[in-house]
Amino acid sequence: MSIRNDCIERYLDDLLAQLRGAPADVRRMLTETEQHLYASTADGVAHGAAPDVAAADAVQRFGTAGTVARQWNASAPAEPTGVFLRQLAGQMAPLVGVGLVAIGVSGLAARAMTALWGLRFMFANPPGTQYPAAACQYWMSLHPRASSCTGAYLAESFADGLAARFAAGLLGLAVLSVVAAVRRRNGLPLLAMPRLLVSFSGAATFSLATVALVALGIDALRVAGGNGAGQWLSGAVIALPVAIGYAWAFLNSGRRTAVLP
Amino acid sequence: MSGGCSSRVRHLVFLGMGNEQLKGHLDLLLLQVIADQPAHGYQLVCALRDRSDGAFNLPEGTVYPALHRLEGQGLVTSTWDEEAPRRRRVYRITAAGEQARRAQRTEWSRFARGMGGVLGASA
Repeated sequence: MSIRNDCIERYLDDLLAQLRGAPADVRRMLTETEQHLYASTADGVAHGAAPDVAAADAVQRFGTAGTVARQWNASAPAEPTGVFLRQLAGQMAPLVGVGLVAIGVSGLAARAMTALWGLRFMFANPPGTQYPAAACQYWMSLHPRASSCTGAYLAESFADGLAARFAAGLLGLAVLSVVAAVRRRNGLPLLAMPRLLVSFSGAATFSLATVALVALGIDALRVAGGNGAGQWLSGAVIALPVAIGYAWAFLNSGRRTAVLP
Repeated sequence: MSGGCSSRVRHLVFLGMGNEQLKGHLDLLLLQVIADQPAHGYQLVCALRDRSDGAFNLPEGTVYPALHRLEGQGLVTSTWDEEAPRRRRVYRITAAGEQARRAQRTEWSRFARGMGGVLGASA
């Protein structure tokens, strides 16, 4: 059968992303898999199945990409530490990029919250905080329109806080650009489901971040009269959807593994 | 050995021999089929399924890592068959593989006799 089948091609991409070992061995495994799946599909069609059904059946009987890759990786020769670390960095780089971009986006959320509820909600310290005179003088010199030391401190915190978050966002975009360039160079699709390890790490990291940020925000609301609660909550509102996205990817990978042999 | 699976076995519901049980004997099964006739991966899977009457429920893709491992151990050798519409790797047993197959088969026969003796006696 010479007609390409999307189901099989997607499976081959998925498998390629999970196989470890020398490039020649991986290419060979992939070629054999392709031959097997198309032969199996042709067999199914010859026995009366529709091509798409036969292809899906062939893929299901072959086993999930995760199952096959685990068997393959277990029998592949151990890789040098340098190669392992490079692969690990390659897997985790998109997660780092997404994390940094999320921090950048939280800067936009912080800006919106500041517009809605004011600087005090976003950056203020607990009521009664005393600032050293030298620091006050410095902040007042930077923000001469501020009517008090606290006002100058808030203006400075706002500027610094947003600048740091936006810088992290830009750095994240740079990391993701490098990841995209490497994927394009290797002939891989630009967008792909993250691997199990990455989706688990992403879900765990961003879930913990969400919980911690919400807890800090609630604490600021209850104990500090809301002063500074926004700096935590503006991060939480961004971390939560990212955590959900990674959790969905993780559960989706798990479901594929569970349903198929 | 034909290129495809027989229609009778293809649509059988697998009888569900435990994968772990099967994995322990996969090397011997593969060596036996290859010893009978050189074959590519898909033919091997079909032969295993046909000969076991559909009893062996192993994800088909796990056969390839096993074949590569056997090749790494020098028990089988392989070459590309370029004449097929799609390139396929044909596996042949080596002298060392033949020796291993005989040894494993003897061991299996002894084990099967023992199992048969015990199970047969209590049946």
